[in-house]
Amino acid sequence: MTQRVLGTLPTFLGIATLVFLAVRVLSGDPASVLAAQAGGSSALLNQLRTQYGLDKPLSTQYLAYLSDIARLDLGRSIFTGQSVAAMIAQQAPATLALATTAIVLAVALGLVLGILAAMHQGTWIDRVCMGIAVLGVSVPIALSGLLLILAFSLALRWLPATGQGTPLHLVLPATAMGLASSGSIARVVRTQLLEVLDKDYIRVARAKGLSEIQVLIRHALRTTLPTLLNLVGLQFGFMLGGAVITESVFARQGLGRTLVEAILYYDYPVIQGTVLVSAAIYTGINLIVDLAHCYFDPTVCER
Amino acid sequence: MAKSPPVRSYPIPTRKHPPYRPIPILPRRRAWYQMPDAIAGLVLLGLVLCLAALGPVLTGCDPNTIHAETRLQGPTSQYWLGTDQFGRDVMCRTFYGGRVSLPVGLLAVVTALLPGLWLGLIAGYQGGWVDALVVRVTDIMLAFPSILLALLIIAWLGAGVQNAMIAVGLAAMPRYIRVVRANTARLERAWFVRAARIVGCTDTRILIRHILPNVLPAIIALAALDIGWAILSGAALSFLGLGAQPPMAEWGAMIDQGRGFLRQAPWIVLVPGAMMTITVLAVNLMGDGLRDALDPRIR
Repeated sequence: MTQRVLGTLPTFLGIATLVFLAVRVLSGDPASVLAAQAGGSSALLNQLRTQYGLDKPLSTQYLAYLSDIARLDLGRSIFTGQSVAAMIAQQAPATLALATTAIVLAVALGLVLGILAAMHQGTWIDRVCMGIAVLGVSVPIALSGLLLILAFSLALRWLPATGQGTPLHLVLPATAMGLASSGSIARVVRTQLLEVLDKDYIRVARAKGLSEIQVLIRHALRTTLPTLLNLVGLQFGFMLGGAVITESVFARQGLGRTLVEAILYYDYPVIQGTVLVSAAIYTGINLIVDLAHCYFDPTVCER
Repeated sequence: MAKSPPVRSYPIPTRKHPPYRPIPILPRRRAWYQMPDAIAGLVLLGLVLCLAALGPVLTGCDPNTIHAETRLQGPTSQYWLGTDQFGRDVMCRTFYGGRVSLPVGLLAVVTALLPGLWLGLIAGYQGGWVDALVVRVTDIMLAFPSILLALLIIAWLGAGVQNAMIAVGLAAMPRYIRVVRANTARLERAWFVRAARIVGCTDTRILIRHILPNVLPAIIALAALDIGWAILSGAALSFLGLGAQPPMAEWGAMIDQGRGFLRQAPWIVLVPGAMMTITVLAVNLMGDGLRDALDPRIR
């Protein structure tokens, strides 16, 4: 267990290195972009280079960058001058709330579809449920989001379309993202259940007089739990990515929107910070999932 | 009456039973005509391809002409699916959008597949530090949600359709490396590969003639299922303003520009959105069928 936790440290280091390479080295010199925007004198360029430490050798820059990250100092936005760490601390809760609500919705819907399909394998119920699942994976989040706004906000006026604050604001964006991800969950639940449903212990459970629902909840669904958990971890990454689009559709604050704006304005420290934090959250979630996997199925971690 | 012959007793053979070995139940391969979903997908995709390829030719329409007098019109006899905020023909733009979005999805997958295939083959076959390096880098890339990786690559390359395509492709590449490497490493120890080596095949020949054909089905199935994802991701980047740039007719960009007029003119968003959904649905249905046919072991 400790091994698994310590094993993520190199991954974090790798993430930080990859982001450093992509943002600092490959995209060239942020100072020249800044200087060009400010008029472009070479004196200014040199001054900015010294200010950001860009005149130092790459290895020194890299070490300074790592020690900054270790101290949770992600630099300052080129445009607003705000501390990136503070910006992220301000934006992250909105994205995490959205992603978590969406995951809960996706799991609920995916379970219902998957269970219905597996219990009625080969009937029209199965076909309809799996049809919904494929459709869910195929609809672009932007379209489902706009359709939801059109139906529930513009036509019916039940829910607010944009903005945030109340739980009501979360409903539409979380549904848009949850729909997209429920499809893959439903398929996995169905396959897993079908594998289990003709096992002997299920027959025993039925023979001893348990109702179908009890068989499902007490015996069949338990075996799908580890796979489901892993999938939820993976889907969380999909949610962090999907948040980029959803936050734009529903005009919400959040990490995704901050990142897109930063890319459009070449705000390197902000790009670097948001990508780093998102990847770290994703890695962290998957670590938690792995540990939970160990808890539910101790054989996985014995080795 | 003849006496029945005496019943002779034979000794029961005492040989030991061979160890019980259950025969694994392999999912049965099905012929293409047994997969109605895949056929439906194929027909839908053919339809979409025809619309994108022939639509503009047959109607002779122009996606970019601005008609100020016909702004935000609903479906009319002249514009079957209405016009957008600049009076441009929405149906025509959707046709032209297919000419961007479809190749972007397809080429993005090729961008992921070709380098991923070779890196995976070499790493899996070579082993040693090459393998360790490739695995480590792949693991790190997989630690990013893929859209986020694509955004990071866009931040480096800059906005544009081609860059969006490359970004989506590179973001998908680690998945291919991982699958190919795992399969290659498994096959490298197989008896037929050892036999080929003993017979004197060169490494290149073993990789291309013996390992590659065995890796290919899994990778084709993965690629088929990825095309839909790539089309969605490419359009998502355009939707965010990081892919296709404004005057260009592209599905994601059309949805982005039309969403301000959702109340007055929902068709600006709905037409390209529906076309994109049908396309991705068709590709996914086909991909499922192809996976069942080529590599029944996945899922």
